[in-house]
Amino acid sequence: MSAWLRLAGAVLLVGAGWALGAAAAQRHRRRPQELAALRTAVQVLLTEIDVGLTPLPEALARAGAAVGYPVAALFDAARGALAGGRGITGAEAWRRALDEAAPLLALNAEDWDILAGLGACLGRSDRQDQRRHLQLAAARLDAAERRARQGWEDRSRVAVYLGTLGGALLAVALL
Amino acid sequence: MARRVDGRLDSPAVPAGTHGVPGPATDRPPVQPVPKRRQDGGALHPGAAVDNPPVRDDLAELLPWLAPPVARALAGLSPDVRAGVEEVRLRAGRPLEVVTAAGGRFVAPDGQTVDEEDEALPVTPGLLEQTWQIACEASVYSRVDETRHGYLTLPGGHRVGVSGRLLVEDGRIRRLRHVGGLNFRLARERPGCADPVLDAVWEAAAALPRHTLILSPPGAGKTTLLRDLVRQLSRGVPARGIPGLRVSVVDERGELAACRDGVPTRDVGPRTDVLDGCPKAAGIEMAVRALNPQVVAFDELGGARDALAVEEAAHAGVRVLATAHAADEVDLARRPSLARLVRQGLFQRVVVLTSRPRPGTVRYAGPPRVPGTRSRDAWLVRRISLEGRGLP
Repeated sequence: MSAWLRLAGAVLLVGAGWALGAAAAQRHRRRPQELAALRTAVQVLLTEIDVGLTPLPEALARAGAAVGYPVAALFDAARGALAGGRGITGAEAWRRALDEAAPLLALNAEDWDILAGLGACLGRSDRQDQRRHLQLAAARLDAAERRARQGWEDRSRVAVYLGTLGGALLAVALL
Repeated sequence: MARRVDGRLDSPAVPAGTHGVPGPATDRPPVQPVPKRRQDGGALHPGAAVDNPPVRDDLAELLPWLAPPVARALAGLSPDVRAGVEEVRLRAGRPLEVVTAAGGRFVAPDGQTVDEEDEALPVTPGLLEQTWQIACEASVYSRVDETRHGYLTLPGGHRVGVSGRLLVEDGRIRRLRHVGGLNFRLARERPGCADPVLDAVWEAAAALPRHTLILSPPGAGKTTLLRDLVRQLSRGVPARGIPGLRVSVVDERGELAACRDGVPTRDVGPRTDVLDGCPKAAGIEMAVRALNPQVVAFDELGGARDALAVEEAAHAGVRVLATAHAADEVDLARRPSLARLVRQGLFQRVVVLTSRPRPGTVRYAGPPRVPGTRSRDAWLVRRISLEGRGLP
Protein backbone atom coordinates (compact mmCIF):
# COMPACT_ATOMS: atom_id res chain seq x y z
CA MET A 1 0.00 0.00 0.00
CA SER A 2 2.78 2.30 0.96
CA ALA A 3 4.48 1.57 -2.36
CA TRP A 4 1.33 2.59 -4.20
CA LEU A 5 1.23 5.85 -2.29
CA ARG A 6 4.88 6.51 -3.11
CA LEU A 7 4.24 5.80 -6.73
CA ALA A 8 1.24 8.13 -6.77
CA GLY A 9 3.34 10.85 -5.11
CA ALA A 10 6.07 10.39 -7.67
CA VAL A 11 3.57 10.65 -10.51
CA LEU A 12 2.18 13.83 -8.99
CA LEU A 13 5.66 15.34 -8.68
CA VAL A 14 6.50 14.51 -12.28
CA GLY A 15 3.12 15.91 -13.37
CA ALA A 16 3.70 19.11 -11.41
CA GLY A 17 7.16 19.48 -12.95
CA TRP A 18 5.68 19.01 -16.40
CA ALA A 19 2.98 21.61 -15.67
CA LEU A 20 5.58 24.16 -14.55
CA GLY A 21 7.63 23.49 -17.65
CA ALA A 22 4.56 23.79 -19.85
CA ALA A 23 3.66 27.12 -18.24
CA ALA A 24 7.17 28.41 -18.94
CA ALA A 25 6.90 27.14 -22.51
CA GLN A 26 3.60 28.94 -22.86
CA ARG A 27 5.26 32.22 -21.90
CA HIS A 28 7.96 31.59 -24.51
CA ARG A 29 5.24 31.00 -27.08
CA ARG A 30 3.18 34.08 -26.07
CA ARG A 31 6.00 36.59 -25.87
CA PRO A 32 6.64 37.00 -29.61
CA GLN A 33 2.91 37.11 -30.25
CA GLU A 34 2.44 39.83 -27.64
CA LEU A 35 5.43 41.78 -28.95
CA ALA A 36 3.93 41.63 -32.43
CA ALA A 37 0.60 42.85 -31.07
CA LEU A 38 2.36 45.65 -29.18
CA ARG A 39 4.15 46.72 -32.34
CA THR A 40 0.87 46.78 -34.23
CA ALA A 41 -0.79 48.83 -31.51
CA VAL A 42 2.11 51.29 -31.39
CA GLN A 43 1.91 51.71 -35.15
CA VAL A 44 -1.82 52.43 -34.91
CA LEU A 45 -1.05 54.92 -32.14
CA LEU A 46 1.57 56.52 -34.36
CA THR A 47 -0.91 56.89 -37.21
CA GLU A 48 -3.58 58.34 -34.96
CA ILE A 49 -1.18 60.86 -33.46
CA ASP A 50 0.83 61.74 -36.54
CA VAL A 51 -1.88 61.73 -39.19
CA GLY A 52 -5.12 62.26 -37.31
CA LEU A 53 -3.83 64.40 -34.44
CA THR A 54 -6.24 62.34 -32.39
CA PRO A 55 -6.29 63.22 -28.68
CA LEU A 56 -4.36 60.66 -26.68
CA PRO A 57 -7.28 58.96 -24.86
CA GLU A 58 -9.04 58.31 -28.15
CA ALA A 59 -5.82 57.30 -29.89
CA LEU A 60 -5.09 54.79 -27.11
CA ALA A 61 -8.61 53.38 -27.43
CA ARG A 62 -8.16 52.86 -31.16
CA ALA A 63 -4.74 51.29 -30.69
CA GLY A 64 -6.23 48.90 -28.13
CA ALA A 65 -9.10 48.04 -30.45
CA ALA A 66 -6.65 47.05 -33.17
CA VAL A 67 -5.20 44.18 -31.14
CA GLY A 68 -6.52 41.40 -28.94
CA TYR A 69 -6.32 40.59 -25.25
CA PRO A 70 -4.08 40.95 -23.26
CA VAL A 71 -2.21 43.72 -25.11
CA ALA A 72 -5.50 45.57 -25.60
CA ALA A 73 -5.87 45.65 -21.82
CA LEU A 74 -2.68 47.71 -21.53
CA PHE A 75 -3.95 50.40 -23.90
CA ASP A 76 -7.43 50.34 -22.40
CA ALA A 77 -5.96 50.79 -18.93
CA ALA A 78 -3.98 53.83 -20.11
CA ARG A 79 -7.05 55.29 -21.78
CA GLY A 80 -9.09 54.66 -18.66
CA ALA A 81 -6.50 56.36 -16.47
CA LEU A 82 -6.59 59.47 -18.65
CA ALA A 83 -10.35 59.56 -19.01
CA GLY A 84 -11.22 58.79 -15.43
CA GLY A 85 -8.49 60.38 -13.41
CA ARG A 86 -7.99 63.80 -14.88
CA GLY A 87 -5.04 65.62 -13.46
CA ILE A 88 -2.49 63.15 -14.78
CA THR A 89 -0.15 63.27 -17.73
CA GLY A 90 0.18 60.75 -20.51
CA ALA A 91 3.36 59.38 -18.93
CA GLU A 92 1.65 58.87 -15.58
CA ALA A 93 -1.35 57.18 -17.20
CA TRP A 94 0.98 54.85 -19.12
CA ARG A 95 2.93 53.99 -15.98
CA ARG A 96 -0.27 53.09 -14.18
CA ALA A 97 -1.38 51.00 -17.14
CA LEU A 98 1.94 49.09 -17.15
CA ASP A 99 1.52 48.30 -13.45
CA GLU A 100 -2.02 47.13 -14.09
CA ALA A 101 -1.24 45.03 -17.16
CA ALA A 102 2.07 43.53 -15.97
CA PRO A 103 0.55 40.29 -14.59
CA LEU A 104 -1.28 39.71 -17.87
CA LEU A 105 1.67 39.93 -20.24
CA ALA A 106 4.47 37.42 -20.91
CA LEU A 107 7.19 40.02 -21.43
CA ASN A 108 10.71 40.13 -20.10
CA ALA A 109 12.70 42.99 -18.57
CA GLU A 110 13.99 44.18 -21.94
CA ASP A 111 10.44 44.51 -23.25
CA TRP A 112 9.29 46.42 -20.18
CA ASP A 113 12.18 48.85 -20.70
CA ILE A 114 10.96 49.55 -24.24
CA LEU A 115 7.43 50.18 -23.00
CA ALA A 116 8.63 52.38 -20.15
CA GLY A 117 10.67 54.45 -22.60
CA LEU A 118 7.63 54.85 -24.84
CA GLY A 119 5.52 56.14 -21.97
CA ALA A 120 7.97 58.82 -20.94
CA CYS A 121 7.26 60.86 -24.07
CA LEU A 122 3.62 60.02 -24.60
CA GLY A 123 1.58 63.09 -25.50
CA ARG A 124 4.08 65.61 -24.17
CA SER A 125 5.45 67.10 -27.36
CA ASP A 126 4.55 68.07 -30.90
CA ARG A 127 3.68 65.69 -33.70
CA GLN A 128 7.15 65.34 -35.16
CA ASP A 129 8.66 64.49 -31.81
CA GLN A 130 5.89 62.00 -31.05
CA ARG A 131 6.47 60.39 -34.42
CA ARG A 132 10.18 59.93 -33.73
CA HIS A 133 9.58 58.36 -30.32
CA LEU A 134 6.83 56.05 -31.52
CA GLN A 135 8.81 54.94 -34.57
CA LEU A 136 11.76 54.17 -32.30
CA ALA A 137 9.54 52.19 -29.93
CA ALA A 138 8.02 50.26 -32.84
CA ALA A 139 11.48 49.45 -34.21
CA ARG A 140 12.70 48.25 -30.81
CA LEU A 141 9.61 46.10 -30.38
CA ASP A 142 10.15 44.67 -33.83
CA ALA A 143 13.76 43.77 -33.01
CA ALA A 144 12.71 42.22 -29.70
CA GLU A 145 10.02 40.21 -31.46
CA ARG A 146 12.50 38.88 -34.02
CA ARG A 147 14.87 37.82 -31.27
CA ALA A 148 12.01 36.23 -29.36
CA ARG A 149 10.91 34.23 -32.40
CA GLN A 150 14.37 32.80 -32.99
CA GLY A 151 14.42 29.36 -31.37
CA TRP A 152 11.29 29.89 -29.29
CA GLU A 153 10.17 26.34 -30.16
CA ASP A 154 13.42 24.88 -28.86
CA ARG A 155 13.20 26.97 -25.72
CA SER A 156 9.62 25.88 -25.16
CA ARG A 157 10.53 22.22 -25.61
CA VAL A 158 13.50 22.58 -23.25
CA ALA A 159 11.29 24.24 -20.65
CA VAL A 160 8.86 21.29 -20.76
CA TYR A 161 11.70 18.76 -20.57
CA LEU A 162 13.38 20.55 -17.72
CA GLY A 163 10.16 20.82 -15.78
CA THR A 164 9.35 17.14 -16.27
CA LEU A 165 12.87 16.01 -15.50
CA GLY A 166 13.04 18.26 -12.46
CA GLY A 167 9.84 16.68 -11.16
CA ALA A 168 11.22 13.19 -11.86
CA LEU A 169 14.50 13.95 -10.10
CA LEU A 170 12.65 15.24 -7.08
CA ALA A 171 10.49 12.14 -7.06
CA VAL A 172 13.57 9.85 -7.21
CA ALA A 173 15.24 11.80 -4.45
CA LEU A 174 12.23 11.48 -2.21
CA LEU A 175 11.56 7.81 -2.93
CA MET B 1 -17.60 87.96 -15.80
CA ALA B 2 -19.02 87.76 -12.36
CA ARG B 3 -19.56 90.91 -10.54
CA ARG B 4 -20.84 89.58 -7.34
CA VAL B 5 -20.48 86.15 -5.93
CA ASP B 6 -24.16 85.63 -5.19
CA GLY B 7 -25.03 86.07 -8.82
CA ARG B 8 -26.26 89.62 -8.51
CA LEU B 9 -24.97 92.29 -10.71
CA ASP B 10 -23.82 95.69 -9.74
CA SER B 11 -25.44 98.84 -10.88
CA PRO B 12 -23.57 100.04 -13.89
CA ALA B 13 -23.86 103.59 -14.97
CA VAL B 14 -25.49 103.60 -18.36
CA PRO B 15 -25.73 106.82 -20.33
CA ALA B 16 -29.02 108.03 -21.62
CA GLY B 17 -28.11 106.68 -25.01
CA THR B 18 -28.64 103.22 -23.62
CA HIS B 19 -32.22 103.24 -24.66
CA GLY B 20 -31.65 104.45 -28.13
CA VAL B 21 -31.86 108.15 -27.47
CA PRO B 22 -28.58 109.72 -28.39
CA GLY B 23 -27.78 113.10 -27.01
CA PRO B 24 -27.56 116.29 -29.00
CA ALA B 25 -25.18 116.25 -31.88
CA THR B 26 -22.52 118.31 -30.24
CA ASP B 27 -22.96 117.27 -26.65
CA ARG B 28 -20.82 114.95 -24.72
CA PRO B 29 -22.92 111.87 -23.98
CA PRO B 30 -24.56 112.29 -20.64
CA VAL B 31 -23.39 109.72 -18.17
CA GLN B 32 -26.37 109.27 -15.96
CA PRO B 33 -27.70 106.07 -14.59
CA VAL B 34 -30.99 104.98 -15.99
CA PRO B 35 -33.62 105.01 -13.28
CA LYS B 36 -34.08 101.75 -11.49
CA ARG B 37 -36.97 99.76 -12.77
CA ARG B 38 -37.90 96.19 -13.02
CA GLN B 39 -39.25 94.44 -16.02
CA ASP B 40 -39.34 90.96 -17.29
CA GLY B 41 -40.29 89.37 -14.02
CA GLY B 42 -37.00 89.94 -12.34
CA ALA B 43 -34.86 91.13 -15.17
CA LEU B 44 -32.04 93.30 -14.09
CA HIS B 45 -31.71 96.90 -15.11
CA PRO B 46 -29.02 99.37 -14.28
CA GLY B 47 -29.11 100.16 -10.66
CA ALA B 48 -31.25 97.22 -9.79
CA ALA B 49 -30.35 93.87 -8.35
CA VAL B 50 -32.22 90.67 -8.84
CA ASP B 51 -31.92 87.11 -7.73
CA ASN B 52 -30.33 85.10 -10.48
CA PRO B 53 -30.08 81.33 -10.62
CA PRO B 54 -27.38 79.80 -8.43
CA VAL B 55 -23.89 80.47 -9.67
CA ARG B 56 -22.08 77.38 -10.89
CA ASP B 57 -18.73 76.63 -9.36
CA ASP B 58 -16.49 77.57 -12.26
CA LEU B 59 -13.29 76.99 -10.31
CA ALA B 60 -14.29 73.38 -9.65
CA GLU B 61 -14.42 72.86 -13.42
CA LEU B 62 -10.86 74.06 -13.65
CA LEU B 63 -9.30 71.90 -10.93
CA PRO B 64 -9.05 68.67 -12.96
CA TRP B 65 -6.92 70.53 -15.48
CA LEU B 66 -4.25 71.50 -13.00
CA ALA B 67 -1.35 69.58 -11.50
CA PRO B 68 -2.47 67.99 -8.22
CA PRO B 69 -0.48 70.31 -5.89
CA VAL B 70 -1.97 73.38 -7.58
CA ALA B 71 -5.45 71.86 -7.58
CA ARG B 72 -5.14 71.05 -3.87
CA ALA B 73 -4.08 74.61 -3.07
CA LEU B 74 -6.97 76.10 -5.03
CA ALA B 75 -9.45 73.65 -3.53
CA GLY B 76 -8.43 74.99 -0.14
CA LEU B 77 -9.33 78.60 -0.96
CA SER B 78 -11.90 80.20 1.30
CA PRO B 79 -15.41 80.35 -0.23
CA ASP B 80 -15.24 84.14 -0.61
CA VAL B 81 -12.02 84.07 -2.56
CA ARG B 82 -13.02 80.98 -4.50
CA ALA B 83 -16.25 82.54 -5.74
CA GLY B 84 -14.45 85.63 -6.95
CA VAL B 85 -11.52 84.02 -8.74
CA GLU B 86 -11.21 85.33 -12.28
CA GLU B 87 -7.77 84.07 -13.18
CA VAL B 88 -5.26 81.52 -11.92
CA ARG B 89 -1.70 82.37 -12.86
CA LEU B 90 1.22 79.97 -12.89
CA ARG B 91 4.65 81.35 -13.70
CA ALA B 92 7.75 79.17 -13.70
CA GLY B 93 9.85 79.72 -10.61
CA ARG B 94 7.35 82.09 -9.06
CA PRO B 95 4.45 81.78 -6.64
CA LEU B 96 0.95 80.60 -7.47
CA GLU B 97 -1.39 83.56 -7.86
CA VAL B 98 -5.14 84.00 -8.12
CA VAL B 99 -6.66 87.16 -9.49
CA THR B 100 -10.00 88.43 -8.22
CA ALA B 101 -11.77 91.73 -8.75
CA ALA B 102 -9.84 93.00 -5.74
CA GLY B 103 -6.51 92.18 -7.34
CA GLY B 104 -3.93 89.40 -7.28
CA ARG B 105 -3.12 87.28 -4.24
CA PHE B 106 -0.56 84.54 -3.79
CA VAL B 107 -1.82 81.16 -2.64
CA ALA B 108 -0.16 78.92 -0.05
CA PRO B 109 -0.12 75.12 -0.49
CA ASP B 110 -3.06 74.83 1.95
CA GLY B 111 -5.16 77.39 0.09
CA GLN B 112 -4.56 80.39 2.32
CA THR B 113 -4.12 83.64 0.40
CA VAL B 114 -0.87 85.31 1.40
CA ASP B 115 1.07 88.43 0.54
CA GLU B 116 4.55 87.02 0.99
CA GLU B 117 6.04 85.17 -1.97
CA ASP B 118 7.94 82.84 0.34
CA GLU B 119 4.75 81.51 1.90
CA ALA B 120 3.06 80.77 -1.41
CA LEU B 121 3.15 77.54 -3.37
CA PRO B 122 6.17 77.78 -5.68
CA VAL B 123 5.39 76.88 -9.26
CA THR B 124 8.41 74.83 -10.31
CA PRO B 125 9.16 74.29 -14.00
CA GLY B 126 8.21 70.63 -13.50
CA LEU B 127 4.86 71.58 -12.01
CA LEU B 128 4.24 74.00 -14.84
CA GLU B 129 5.14 71.39 -17.47
CA GLN B 130 2.87 68.88 -15.76
CA THR B 131 -0.01 71.36 -15.72
CA TRP B 132 0.63 72.19 -19.35
CA GLN B 133 0.41 68.57 -20.39
CA ILE B 134 -2.75 68.02 -18.35
CA ALA B 135 -4.36 71.15 -19.79
CA CYS B 136 -3.59 69.77 -23.26
CA GLU B 137 -5.46 66.59 -22.28
CA ALA B 138 -2.12 64.78 -22.43
CA SER B 139 -2.09 65.54 -26.15
CA VAL B 140 0.24 68.50 -26.69
CA TYR B 141 0.62 67.52 -30.34
CA SER B 142 -3.10 68.01 -30.96
CA ARG B 143 -3.11 71.54 -29.51
CA VAL B 144 -0.09 72.94 -31.32
CA ASP B 145 -2.20 74.99 -33.69
CA GLU B 146 -4.11 76.59 -30.83
CA THR B 147 -0.99 77.27 -28.79
CA ARG B 148 0.55 78.96 -31.80
CA HIS B 149 -2.05 81.65 -31.20
CA GLY B 150 -1.09 81.85 -27.56
CA TYR B 151 -3.95 80.08 -25.88
CA LEU B 152 -6.09 77.00 -25.76
CA THR B 153 -9.62 76.50 -24.57
CA LEU B 154 -10.66 73.96 -21.97
CA PRO B 155 -14.04 72.26 -21.72
CA GLY B 156 -16.38 74.78 -20.14
CA GLY B 157 -14.92 77.59 -22.24
CA HIS B 158 -12.12 78.41 -19.83
CA ARG B 159 -9.17 79.88 -21.65
CA VAL B 160 -5.54 79.08 -20.94
CA GLY B 161 -3.14 81.78 -22.05
CA VAL B 162 0.42 80.62 -22.63
CA SER B 163 3.73 82.42 -22.41
CA GLY B 164 7.22 81.09 -22.91
CA ARG B 165 9.82 80.61 -25.57
CA LEU B 166 8.52 80.37 -29.08
CA LEU B 167 10.04 78.76 -32.13
CA VAL B 168 9.87 81.17 -35.03
CA GLU B 169 10.65 80.26 -38.63
CA ASP B 170 10.53 82.73 -41.49
CA GLY B 171 8.95 85.28 -39.20
CA ARG B 172 6.05 82.98 -38.34
CA ILE B 173 5.40 81.35 -35.00
CA ARG B 174 5.78 77.61 -35.52
CA ARG B 175 5.27 76.31 -32.04
CA LEU B 176 5.87 76.79 -28.37
CA ARG B 177 9.25 75.49 -27.33
CA HIS B 178 9.16 76.02 -23.58
CA VAL B 179 6.24 76.97 -21.40
CA GLY B 180 7.09 79.82 -19.05
CA GLY B 181 3.68 80.68 -17.71
CA LEU B 182 0.02 79.75 -17.87
CA ASN B 183 -2.94 81.98 -17.22
CA PHE B 184 -6.21 80.17 -16.62
CA ARG B 185 -9.11 82.57 -17.23
CA LEU B 186 -12.41 81.34 -15.89
CA ALA B 187 -15.36 81.58 -18.23
CA ARG B 188 -18.35 82.83 -16.31
CA GLU B 189 -21.97 82.17 -17.06
CA ARG B 190 -24.18 84.84 -15.58
CA PRO B 191 -27.78 84.44 -16.73
CA GLY B 192 -29.44 87.85 -16.79
CA CYS B 193 -26.28 89.91 -17.08
CA ALA B 194 -27.40 91.20 -20.48
CA ASP B 195 -30.61 92.67 -19.06
CA PRO B 196 -29.15 96.16 -18.61
CA VAL B 197 -28.36 96.44 -22.31
CA LEU B 198 -31.27 94.52 -23.80
CA ASP B 199 -33.42 97.60 -24.37
CA ALA B 200 -30.55 99.35 -26.10
CA VAL B 201 -29.90 96.41 -28.35
CA TRP B 202 -33.47 95.47 -29.25
CA GLU B 203 -35.10 97.18 -32.22
CA ALA B 204 -38.81 96.74 -31.66
CA ALA B 205 -39.84 98.02 -35.10
CA ALA B 206 -37.79 95.38 -36.88
CA ALA B 207 -38.37 92.74 -34.19
CA LEU B 208 -34.65 92.07 -34.37
CA PRO B 209 -31.63 93.17 -32.41
CA ARG B 210 -29.55 96.00 -33.79
CA HIS B 211 -26.06 95.36 -35.09
CA THR B 212 -24.21 95.57 -31.80
CA LEU B 213 -20.56 95.66 -30.86
CA ILE B 214 -19.45 94.99 -27.30
CA LEU B 215 -16.17 96.69 -26.47
CA SER B 216 -13.79 96.53 -23.56
CA PRO B 217 -10.20 95.76 -22.70
CA PRO B 218 -9.48 92.08 -21.95
CA GLY B 219 -11.10 90.63 -18.86
CA ALA B 220 -14.04 93.00 -18.58
CA GLY B 221 -16.78 90.49 -19.36
CA LYS B 222 -17.45 90.82 -23.09
CA THR B 223 -17.84 87.11 -23.72
CA THR B 224 -20.09 86.61 -20.70
CA LEU B 225 -22.34 89.44 -21.81
CA LEU B 226 -22.48 88.24 -25.40
CA ARG B 227 -23.32 84.70 -24.29
CA ASP B 228 -26.24 85.94 -22.21
CA LEU B 229 -27.42 88.20 -25.02
CA VAL B 230 -27.41 85.20 -27.35
CA ARG B 231 -29.23 83.10 -24.78
CA GLN B 232 -31.97 85.67 -24.25
CA LEU B 233 -32.49 86.37 -27.95
CA SER B 234 -32.57 82.67 -28.74
CA ARG B 235 -35.01 81.87 -25.97
CA GLY B 236 -37.03 85.05 -26.30
CA VAL B 237 -38.11 87.42 -23.57
CA PRO B 238 -41.93 87.56 -23.68
CA ALA B 239 -42.12 90.25 -21.01
CA ARG B 240 -40.27 92.60 -23.33
CA GLY B 241 -41.98 91.40 -26.45
CA ILE B 242 -38.86 89.69 -27.75
CA PRO B 243 -39.65 86.48 -29.61
CA GLY B 244 -37.18 83.62 -29.82
CA LEU B 245 -34.82 84.12 -32.76
CA ARG B 246 -32.63 81.83 -34.82
CA VAL B 247 -29.10 82.60 -33.73
CA SER B 248 -25.89 81.27 -35.24
CA VAL B 249 -22.81 81.44 -33.07
CA VAL B 250 -19.41 81.24 -34.72
CA ASP B 251 -17.37 80.01 -31.80
CA GLU B 252 -13.82 79.97 -33.08
CA ARG B 253 -12.18 79.48 -29.71
CA GLY B 254 -14.96 77.47 -28.10
CA GLU B 255 -15.49 80.01 -25.34
CA LEU B 256 -19.04 81.15 -26.06
CA ALA B 257 -20.87 77.83 -26.16
CA ALA B 258 -18.01 75.65 -24.87
CA CYS B 259 -19.12 72.73 -27.02
CA ARG B 260 -18.17 69.20 -26.14
CA ASP B 261 -18.51 66.88 -29.14
CA GLY B 262 -20.66 69.50 -30.82
CA VAL B 263 -23.05 69.93 -27.90
CA PRO B 264 -22.95 73.29 -26.06
CA THR B 265 -22.10 72.99 -22.40
CA ARG B 266 -23.06 76.62 -21.79
CA ASP B 267 -26.64 77.80 -22.12
CA VAL B 268 -26.82 79.61 -25.45
CA GLY B 269 -30.55 79.13 -25.94
CA PRO B 270 -32.76 76.61 -27.70
CA ARG B 271 -32.65 78.20 -31.17
CA THR B 272 -28.90 78.61 -31.38
CA ASP B 273 -26.70 76.80 -33.89
CA VAL B 274 -23.02 76.71 -33.03
CA LEU B 275 -20.16 76.47 -35.50
CA ASP B 276 -17.57 75.25 -33.06
CA GLY B 277 -13.88 75.80 -33.69
CA CYS B 278 -14.64 77.46 -37.01
CA PRO B 279 -12.65 80.50 -38.15
CA LYS B 280 -14.86 83.56 -37.92
CA ALA B 281 -14.75 84.70 -41.51
CA ALA B 282 -15.53 81.23 -42.87
CA GLY B 283 -18.08 80.55 -40.15
CA ILE B 284 -20.04 83.73 -40.77
CA GLU B 285 -20.24 82.89 -44.45
CA MET B 286 -21.28 79.31 -43.75
CA ALA B 287 -23.92 80.37 -41.24
CA VAL B 288 -25.47 82.94 -43.56
CA ARG B 289 -25.57 80.49 -46.44
CA ALA B 290 -26.65 77.34 -44.69
CA LEU B 291 -28.28 78.03 -41.35
CA ASN B 292 -30.74 80.80 -42.21
CA PRO B 293 -29.99 82.79 -39.07
CA GLN B 294 -31.68 85.98 -37.97
CA VAL B 295 -28.70 86.83 -35.80
CA VAL B 296 -25.04 85.92 -36.10
CA ALA B 297 -22.87 86.23 -33.00
CA PHE B 298 -19.16 85.82 -32.52
CA ASP B 299 -16.43 86.78 -30.13
CA GLU B 300 -13.40 88.98 -30.68
CA LEU B 301 -13.70 90.64 -34.01
CA GLY B 302 -10.14 90.89 -35.22
CA GLY B 303 -8.54 91.16 -38.62
CA ALA B 304 -9.56 92.50 -41.99
CA ARG B 305 -11.09 89.17 -43.05
CA ASP B 306 -13.39 89.22 -40.04
CA ALA B 307 -14.40 92.79 -40.82
CA LEU B 308 -15.20 91.87 -44.39
CA ALA B 309 -17.28 88.90 -43.28
CA VAL B 310 -19.21 91.14 -40.88
CA GLU B 311 -19.98 93.51 -43.73
CA GLU B 312 -21.17 90.61 -45.85
CA ALA B 313 -23.45 89.32 -43.11
CA ALA B 314 -24.78 92.75 -42.13
CA HIS B 315 -25.75 93.48 -45.71
CA ALA B 316 -27.34 90.07 -46.11
CA GLY B 317 -30.17 90.93 -43.75
CA VAL B 318 -28.64 89.23 -40.76
CA ARG B 319 -28.12 91.10 -37.50
CA VAL B 320 -24.63 90.92 -36.09
CA LEU B 321 -23.60 90.74 -32.44
CA ALA B 322 -19.88 90.84 -31.84
CA THR B 323 -17.20 91.77 -29.36
CA ALA B 324 -13.84 93.41 -29.87
CA HIS B 325 -10.90 94.44 -27.76
CA ALA B 326 -10.95 98.21 -27.42
CA ALA B 327 -11.42 100.66 -24.59
CA ASP B 328 -14.15 102.41 -26.59
CA GLU B 329 -15.09 103.43 -30.11
CA VAL B 330 -12.14 105.81 -30.29
CA ASP B 331 -9.72 103.00 -29.67
CA LEU B 332 -11.59 100.80 -32.09
CA ALA B 333 -11.42 103.42 -34.81
CA ARG B 334 -7.66 103.36 -34.44
CA ARG B 335 -7.41 99.67 -35.18
CA PRO B 336 -6.70 99.65 -38.89
CA SER B 337 -8.61 96.49 -39.70
CA LEU B 338 -11.75 97.62 -37.89
CA ALA B 339 -11.69 101.35 -38.49
CA ARG B 340 -13.73 100.99 -41.65
CA LEU B 341 -16.57 99.28 -39.80
CA VAL B 342 -16.73 102.16 -37.36
CA ARG B 343 -16.61 104.83 -40.03
CA GLN B 344 -19.27 103.07 -42.08
CA GLY B 345 -21.51 103.13 -39.06
CA LEU B 346 -22.29 99.50 -39.51
CA PHE B 347 -22.81 98.91 -35.82
CA GLN B 348 -25.95 100.63 -34.62
CA ARG B 349 -25.24 100.03 -30.98
CA VAL B 350 -22.09 99.91 -28.94
CA VAL B 351 -21.80 98.51 -25.44
CA VAL B 352 -18.69 99.56 -23.59
CA LEU B 353 -17.72 97.51 -20.57
CA THR B 354 -15.17 98.21 -17.91
CA SER B 355 -13.61 96.05 -15.24
CA ARG B 356 -13.92 98.87 -12.69
CA PRO B 357 -15.16 98.57 -10.07
CA ARG B 358 -15.59 94.98 -11.23
CA PRO B 359 -15.76 93.11 -14.52
CA GLY B 360 -19.00 93.44 -16.41
CA THR B 361 -19.76 97.01 -15.44
CA VAL B 362 -21.54 98.71 -18.33
CA ARG B 363 -19.96 102.07 -18.97
CA TYR B 364 -21.99 102.94 -21.99
CA ALA B 365 -24.68 101.34 -24.10
CA GLY B 366 -26.09 103.21 -27.03
CA PRO B 367 -25.38 104.52 -30.51
CA PRO B 368 -21.72 104.73 -31.45
CA ARG B 369 -20.05 107.94 -30.41
CA VAL B 370 -17.79 109.08 -33.14
CA PRO B 371 -14.79 111.06 -31.98
CA GLY B 372 -14.68 114.65 -33.05
CA THR B 373 -11.80 116.46 -34.58
CA ARG B 374 -10.91 118.60 -31.59
CA SER B 375 -9.54 116.06 -29.17
CA ARG B 376 -10.20 112.67 -27.90
CA ASP B 377 -11.98 114.08 -24.85
CA ALA B 378 -14.25 116.36 -26.80
CA TRP B 379 -16.37 113.69 -28.33
CA LEU B 380 -18.72 114.56 -31.06
CA VAL B 381 -21.77 112.49 -30.52
CA ARG B 382 -23.90 112.39 -33.59
CA ARG B 383 -26.22 110.14 -35.40
CA ILE B 384 -24.49 107.84 -37.78
CA SER B 385 -25.61 107.75 -41.32
CA LEU B 386 -27.00 104.31 -41.77
CA GLU B 387 -27.70 104.55 -45.42
CA GLY B 388 -31.43 104.39 -45.17
CA ARG B 389 -31.68 102.11 -42.20
CA GLY B 390 -31.69 104.97 -39.78
CA LEU B 391 -31.96 104.98 -36.06
CA PRO B 392 -35.36 104.90 -34.46
